Amino acid sequence: MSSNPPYGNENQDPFEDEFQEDPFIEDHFSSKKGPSTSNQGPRAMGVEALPDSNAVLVLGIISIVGAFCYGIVGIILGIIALAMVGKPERAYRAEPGRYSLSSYNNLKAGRVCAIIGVSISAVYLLVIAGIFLFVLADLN
Amino acid sequence: MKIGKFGDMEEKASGLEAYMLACPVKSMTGLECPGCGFQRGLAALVQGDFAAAWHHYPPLFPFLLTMVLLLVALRSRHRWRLRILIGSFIFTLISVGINYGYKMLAGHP
Repeated sequence: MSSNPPYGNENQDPFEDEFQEDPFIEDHFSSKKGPSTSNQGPRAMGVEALPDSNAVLVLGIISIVGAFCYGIVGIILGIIALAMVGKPERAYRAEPGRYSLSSYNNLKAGRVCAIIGVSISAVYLLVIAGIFLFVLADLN
Repeated sequence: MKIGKFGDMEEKASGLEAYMLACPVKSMTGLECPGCGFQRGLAALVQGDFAAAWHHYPPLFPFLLTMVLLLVALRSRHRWRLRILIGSFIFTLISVGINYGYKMLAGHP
C-alpha cells in the first residue's frame, strides 16, 4: 500500500481476530469456496471501495421506505439489493486487504436494510393477499 | 366517484372495498404513494375485469408477472434465472415510476 491507511499500523488489522473466530462467517463461506489461502501473509487496510457497496446501501434504505407503498417498491428494490450483495461479498472474502472496511460495513448495512425491507414488504403483501382470499371466499 | 365507463366498478367491488387496507402514506401526507390503486386494481382483477384493473393500476400486470417469476426462480436452476428476474424487476420498477409520474403530473384520468 503506497497511500496512507485510514488509521493505525499498516500491517495491523484490528478486525483480524474477529474474522477468524466468527463461526458463522467461516461456516457460511467454506461450503462454497473451500479453504481459502489468499488471505495469508501481511494484510493492510485497503483504500479501494468495494464495487456496488454504496448502491446496495441506497437500495436497501429505499426498500424500507418503499415497503409502505403496499410493499410493491420495497420488495423489488430489496431483492435487487440482495441479488447485488453476493459479488462484492465474495470479492471481499477473496482479498480482504484490498478493500476498505467502511465500504464493507456499508455493504453489510445495506444487506440488513434490504432484508428488513423485503420482510416488511412480504408481510404487507401477504396480509393483502390473505384479506383478498378470505373476503372473496366469504362473498361467494 | 364515478369515472367514465368504469363508473360501476365501485359498486362491483364494494364487498371487497370495505376490507381494503388504507394507504398509510396517503392518510398521513394526503399525497398518493406509488402503490396507490394497487388494491382497487387487484379487486377488479380477481373479479375478472381486466380493463378496470388496467384503469386503476397499470403496473399491476408486470408486478404480478414478477411475483410469479420470483416464485419460479426460487425453485429453478436455470442459468439465466437471476438475469430474467432482475430484468423483470427493473421493468416493473420503471412501469411503477412512469405510472406515478403520470399520475402526479397529469392527474388520475
